[in-house]
Amino acid sequence: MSITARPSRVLVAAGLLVASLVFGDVLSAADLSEPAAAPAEISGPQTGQNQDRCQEVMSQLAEQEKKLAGELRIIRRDVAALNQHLENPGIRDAMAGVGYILGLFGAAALVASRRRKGTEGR
Amino acid sequence: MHISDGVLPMTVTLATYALTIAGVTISLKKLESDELPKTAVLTSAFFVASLVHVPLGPTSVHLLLPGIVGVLLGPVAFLSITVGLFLQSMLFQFGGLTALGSNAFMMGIPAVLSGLLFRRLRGITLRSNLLAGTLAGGMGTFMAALLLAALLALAGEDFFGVAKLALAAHVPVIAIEALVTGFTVSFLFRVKPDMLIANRSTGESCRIEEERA
Repeated sequence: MSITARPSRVLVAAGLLVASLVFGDVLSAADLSEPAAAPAEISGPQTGQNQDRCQEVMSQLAEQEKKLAGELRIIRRDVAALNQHLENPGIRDAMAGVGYILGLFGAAALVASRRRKGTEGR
Repeated sequence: MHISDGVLPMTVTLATYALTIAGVTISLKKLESDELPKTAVLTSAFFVASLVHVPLGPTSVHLLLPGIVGVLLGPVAFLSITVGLFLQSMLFQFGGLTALGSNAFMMGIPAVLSGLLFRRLRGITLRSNLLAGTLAGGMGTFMAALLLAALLALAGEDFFGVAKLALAAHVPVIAIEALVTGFTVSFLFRVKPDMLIANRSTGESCRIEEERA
């Protein structure tokens, strides 16, 4: 074989090693699920304890969920109130309007004074 | 007391818009360049007045000021109120743009009528001016509430029900505006009676100067 063949064989070997590790993990995980089901049928008293603990955990989860739902409701109400508050016209809008009014009437006054100067100056 | 978009039928909207345009045109014709600063100040006051809330049980109503605008401006009040309402609709989102015609009609006519009432009743003494000012100031909002009920009756609501509700809700506003207009008119009468004359062509200012001299 040529000199370049050896690095490629090393690469192939490394790739196969990594693939075996990865797939071995996947397969071993798949294997674990089956043994978990099997002991439930075999040992009696341990099943009851497992189920009790499971129920406890489930009820705790349900409680937490209720608490979180309550908090979320409060937060949502606060956000709605804040939105409403922001929509209220503030001092900024009032100043904008007054500025607009003064500008409008000021422009009208300018035009009027130009017109008057035009007719009186001559 | 602003009507929102979509409440009034199309015919009423178009009719009030046409009337408002006519009113604004008449106001523009009567506008004199000497009156522009006064008009600007009163338009600003009308514009900002809706931010002043008067508590009424659980909610609140806001000041309207068509009375005093009409008393001090006369027929130009229509233009002033239309400009104020337009800016309120743009900046504060009070009332919609399609309802601008009806809102301007609803507020402008009482303003002009208050001005007419004041000029008819004012006389030449301080006391008669004060009383006329107070009455005209209160009547402005009163008539606006009645016009609101009339417009909503055209939209299908019960006139007397709406009128009763609107008037009952605005009683404190009417009282406050009557007081404020009375004070303003008496102050202006003593300090600068020219400002109470909306139209320079009337000879009333000369008579008042003669009376005081």
